[in-house]
Amino acid sequence: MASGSKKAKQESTFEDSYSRLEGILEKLESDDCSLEETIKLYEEGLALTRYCYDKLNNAELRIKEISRNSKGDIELKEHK
Amino acid sequence: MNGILPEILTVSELNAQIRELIEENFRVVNIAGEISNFKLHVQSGHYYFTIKDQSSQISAVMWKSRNSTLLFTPEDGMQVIIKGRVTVYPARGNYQVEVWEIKPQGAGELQLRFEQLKQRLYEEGLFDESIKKPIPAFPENVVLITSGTGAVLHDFIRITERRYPMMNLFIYPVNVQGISAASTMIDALHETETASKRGKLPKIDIIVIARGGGSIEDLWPFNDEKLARAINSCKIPIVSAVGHEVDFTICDFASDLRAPTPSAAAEIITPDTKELIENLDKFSYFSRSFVQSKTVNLRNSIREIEKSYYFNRPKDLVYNFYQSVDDISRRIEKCTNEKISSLKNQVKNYGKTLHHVSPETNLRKGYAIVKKRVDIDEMRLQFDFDKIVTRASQLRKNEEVELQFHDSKKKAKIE
Repeated sequence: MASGSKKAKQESTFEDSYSRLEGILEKLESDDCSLEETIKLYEEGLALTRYCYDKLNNAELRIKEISRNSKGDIELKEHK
Repeated sequence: MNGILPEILTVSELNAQIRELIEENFRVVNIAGEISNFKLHVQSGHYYFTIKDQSSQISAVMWKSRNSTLLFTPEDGMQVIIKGRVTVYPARGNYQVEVWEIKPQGAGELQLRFEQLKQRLYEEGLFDESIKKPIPAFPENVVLITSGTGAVLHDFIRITERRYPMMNLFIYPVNVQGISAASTMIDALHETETASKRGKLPKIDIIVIARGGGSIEDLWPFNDEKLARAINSCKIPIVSAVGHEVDFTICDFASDLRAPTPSAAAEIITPDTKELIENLDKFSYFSRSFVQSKTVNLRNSIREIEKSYYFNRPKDLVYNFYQSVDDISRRIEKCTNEKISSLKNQVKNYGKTLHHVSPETNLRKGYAIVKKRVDIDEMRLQFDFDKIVTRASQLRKNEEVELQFHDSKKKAKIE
């Protein structure tokens, strides 16, 4: 399960990316943003949207069932 | 009995007979009344109280063996229907109702117990808004504690799959009904928390406790005090989704969030992918238009600056100089022309005047010019051989002169 938690950590960027996008939009909307900054934010936003689109479009719900073995330890198995 | 002395009874014998009579005749009674003077005997666990109406009362006892199955604690003033029998306590010669069941009038007994537990836990602060944990907006790992079979699980999977397939769903099958239900759910909560902490499960963002609709008896395990405390002490945010919209359980109050139904819980905990994609579309559109409008605005403002008075002043100055140079040159031209033409006129006039006074004109009138040869001495002074004679005394006898008329010259000799 160690690999599972590591994987989860790597993938935890969707929320970060998404909230970063909201932050970028807010900054773009504000007037005190230089042209260089605007272009930089735009490029960053573009990359983030591509990442988020990719995540959302390719996601597939992963379902596992938790059970207890004879020793009382937790075991995970595929659902159905 | 003739001639026989009346039978003498001992107190015990009388009480025994009364007891037999009463207990024989009131083997099962149902009494409506109000509980008063309620006492719980701490050591024995028996309940002692009085049942009364406006004008009469009767003692009552409920043994521990009976009252332990009671779902609520009787209170003074409670309107109840009691089932039991009438017994006599021979030692004191009094009678009382031995209570088997107490049913609250109006609200059901489970309802009553529910209200009492709710009140108690509420006062303890178990339901305080301030201790509720926020529910993450983008859950990655969700544990669903519910029955391993049935519509709840199916609907929950269907909805989360549609709305937010980026999620990992862990199903923890438990009993959601019957005696063992509460303890298996408590166990599932503990196990989930421990496994998440030890890395046997990934970091769990939300635990959902769910069960479909049912009667208050069916939902009763969710009103378990131990379950409420387990929920309360769990570090992972818990969403409770028990029964239908109208059903409220202690589990709902103790959880960090109550969902009206299991399906509603599936919707509440998941962002909608369709909406997220729409937002991304909007973001792409807006950010592009922001950048565009920014560059357009900047371009316009550069043009504005370019057109501004101060920015154009040097040009203006040059133009002004052009203009004044033009002006000056025009004026110079004008002055010069005027001067020239005035001079021309003057010359013309002089010419006319000169014409009038010219020798030529006079000659035509009949005048003649007398010239004589110049002496050598005089030649040094003037280069003309001829000298105009202006006085008669200048001429000597026999001197040759030249007479000039307007058409020609003639020689003459002075007498």
